[in-house]
Amino acid sequence: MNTASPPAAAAEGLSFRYASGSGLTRADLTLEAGETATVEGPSGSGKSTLLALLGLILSPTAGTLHITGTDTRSLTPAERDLLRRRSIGIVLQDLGLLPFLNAWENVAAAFGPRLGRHRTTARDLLGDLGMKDLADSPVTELSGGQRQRIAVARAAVKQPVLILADEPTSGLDPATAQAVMTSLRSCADRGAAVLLVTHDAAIASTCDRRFLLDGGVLSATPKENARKENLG
Amino acid sequence: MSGWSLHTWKRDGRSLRRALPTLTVLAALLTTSAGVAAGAAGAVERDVLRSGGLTQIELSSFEGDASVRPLTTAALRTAGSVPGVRRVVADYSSVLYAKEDGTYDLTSHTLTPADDLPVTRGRIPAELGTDEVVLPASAQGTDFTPLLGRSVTFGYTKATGAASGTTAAITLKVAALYDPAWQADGPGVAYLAEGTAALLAAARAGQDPGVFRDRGGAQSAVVVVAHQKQVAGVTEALQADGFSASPVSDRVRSLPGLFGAADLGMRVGVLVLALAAAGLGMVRAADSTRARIGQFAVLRILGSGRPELRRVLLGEAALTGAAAGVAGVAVGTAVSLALARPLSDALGLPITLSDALPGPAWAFAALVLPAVGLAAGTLLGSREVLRQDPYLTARAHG
Repeated sequence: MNTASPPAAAAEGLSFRYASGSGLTRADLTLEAGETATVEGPSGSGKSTLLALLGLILSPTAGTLHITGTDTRSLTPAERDLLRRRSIGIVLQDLGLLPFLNAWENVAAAFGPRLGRHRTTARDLLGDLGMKDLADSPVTELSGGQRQRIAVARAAVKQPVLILADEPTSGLDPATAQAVMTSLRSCADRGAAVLLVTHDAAIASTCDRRFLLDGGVLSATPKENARKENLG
Repeated sequence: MSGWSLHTWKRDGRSLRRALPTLTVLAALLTTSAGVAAGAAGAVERDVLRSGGLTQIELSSFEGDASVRPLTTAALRTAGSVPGVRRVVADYSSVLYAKEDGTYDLTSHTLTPADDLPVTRGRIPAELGTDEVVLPASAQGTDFTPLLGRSVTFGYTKATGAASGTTAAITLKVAALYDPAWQADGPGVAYLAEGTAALLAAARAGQDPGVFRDRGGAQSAVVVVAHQKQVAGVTEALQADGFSASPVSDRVRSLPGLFGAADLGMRVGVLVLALAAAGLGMVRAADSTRARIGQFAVLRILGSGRPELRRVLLGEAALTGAAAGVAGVAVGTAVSLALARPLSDALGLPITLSDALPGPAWAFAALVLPAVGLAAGTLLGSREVLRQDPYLTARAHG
């Protein structure tokens, strides 16, 4: 863990309200480079909203958010898009793979539309994930686990400082889920802060920190509190 | 244009590429119309030039229009006295029909300097005699070839009352035959000397030829000037004298029959192409954006802003429009060239391949309008969907 540089993400009093009234009431958290953290909570508690806020897709109604020390409140929409493109990788709950691109092209899409320039990087990463032979396959022909790993690869390929994953292991068999978690863990080992939303306690227990989101309020789990006390 | 446009356009069946076939057909139709109209205009222009059309002015007498001076003998004398005028030939129309063999009835006209008949047999003398006639080689199922050089008795109507008449006969020598495809005055026309044509027209009106020419007057007349520079001045002088006068070279702008339709089609086609492209753009862009809202949400997450999503759609519109324009112009030009020969036969004038090429302005319009129209429509059609954030919309729609 590198404490000398600013945290990958630091949120204080972060909140967001949809037109329907639901959303996120308050979130305070700091994610350091190289650590993994989970957010757990019941459906509709605001987990995906928290990821969208941290991913600079939504603008908070209130509170502050710093990404690697940059105060995101002062950024224009174009600057937010640029910061997201450069610093944040996101694994969507429904993966969001582009069906008209093959496996390696979906990974290279993280860099933008000039896919050919990042062909080698994308293929190498898929090779690291054990998918070398499937790099040219249409994503529509791959299994759920393979598609999940492509989504992780796309989020990780630019080596962002922050990776946000929305239930990246849901619907996967334990072995595949473990492979996906290994991929995310290796991202953290390379210096990224990884925050993932999960309902799986076993998966959550493998992470450095655990948060609970309930009723729109983010709090540390007992385990996290204990960790803080130990640090204190 | 966004770099994503090429990927989505090439590989995503929901992209604006779906508008390609319709726009290609429209661009091809516009190009074909332009090619056909250009071909006809080129052929007519050559014909007008060849028949000395650049030094001729057409006078017209619109029946019942009191504002136009009737082409009586006195009026024609006035026209002939305008400085620069060398000659005035009046056109009188009537009907000649079979008196001996056959069952034809041919419209008769004066052979004027504007009539450059494509003679197939015989020879038209410099001045057609009052006892001569020039016939089409065939008309109404009758082959006139055997009559060439012979004196033939034709029938014509001599009115004896408001609704009664008798048949009179006139013997004319068939001086020449012309290609029946040449139909500048309509199909199956017999051409006569001015005096003979007036005689027949007067008989049909039940009048003495002199009285008819003095009071009723000719249907139209051709004024020949010495030099083409004088056409504008003489036309103005004639108009100032109350004549309905227009240079014969203006015929190029009023193409006959089918070719006039092609000319009109070309002009209307530009508007249709522009509006159809814009309309298609609006509908397709709205549909396409809605169908791909999830895909756009992914592009947002990958770092594309809303302006870039708009550029993705505009890029697809530009690619679709450009492809439709290029393909449409190519197909339309090929069709126009292929039609040159049959249309040449129909018009009775040679249409060369270079004539049948659409004008540069029209080709440019067919090339550019699909892209411009589609892009404009896309901007309007995608506005509503892209105004909402694709990420939130995608989430809301599950």
